[in-house]
Amino acid sequence: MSNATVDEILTLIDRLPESDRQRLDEALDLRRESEWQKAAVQMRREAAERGIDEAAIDTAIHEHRYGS
Amino acid sequence: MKILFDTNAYIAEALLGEAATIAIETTLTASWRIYTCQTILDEIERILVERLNVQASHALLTKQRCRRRATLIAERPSKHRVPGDPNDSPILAAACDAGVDYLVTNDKLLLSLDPYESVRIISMAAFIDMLQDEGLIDSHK
Repeated sequence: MSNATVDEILTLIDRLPESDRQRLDEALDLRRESEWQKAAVQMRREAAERGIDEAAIDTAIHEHRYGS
Repeated sequence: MKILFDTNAYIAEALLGEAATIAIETTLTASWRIYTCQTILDEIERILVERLNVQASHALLTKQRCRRRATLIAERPSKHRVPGDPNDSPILAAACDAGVDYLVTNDKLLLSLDPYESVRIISMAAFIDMLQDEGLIDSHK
């Protein structure tokens, strides 16, 4: 998508009445949540395949913070 | 009630679901306020990609989701420091600046500071127990 198109969309959004802006925000939130839920299914499947559990996550954070 | 979940909660929610999902969703359902800071947001993305080999696009989505659900506390110079661990200091400072009731973390160094001023620093398991005691959830895995 070109910058011109993005700018046009942003201009249209700016012109929306408040109620439509709110509807747009809610629709985008739902879309983003749906996108994350789909990603989570894949992340959890791959994590299970690799045996990642809470202890492995805590270890990864510990190593990131304190070095390994 | 004000809560600051450490990085482990968001990564566990993304990769495991289970208890972390229950903890965060119950907190939101109870209309308790969740706070975060840029250090946690950056850690979510970096640790998922660099330590746990998650796709970068999925890590970014997880970071953005955390941002959407939490109030971001601006990081600024603070007197609140974790002895021996400068990496954790922004998280402790954010918890104090936000005036949270609970900092939920599995970081042993942070947990060793409990209580810190008015902030209770508790593990994810202890937070789940607290939610049970409050009658907000029936049981957990």
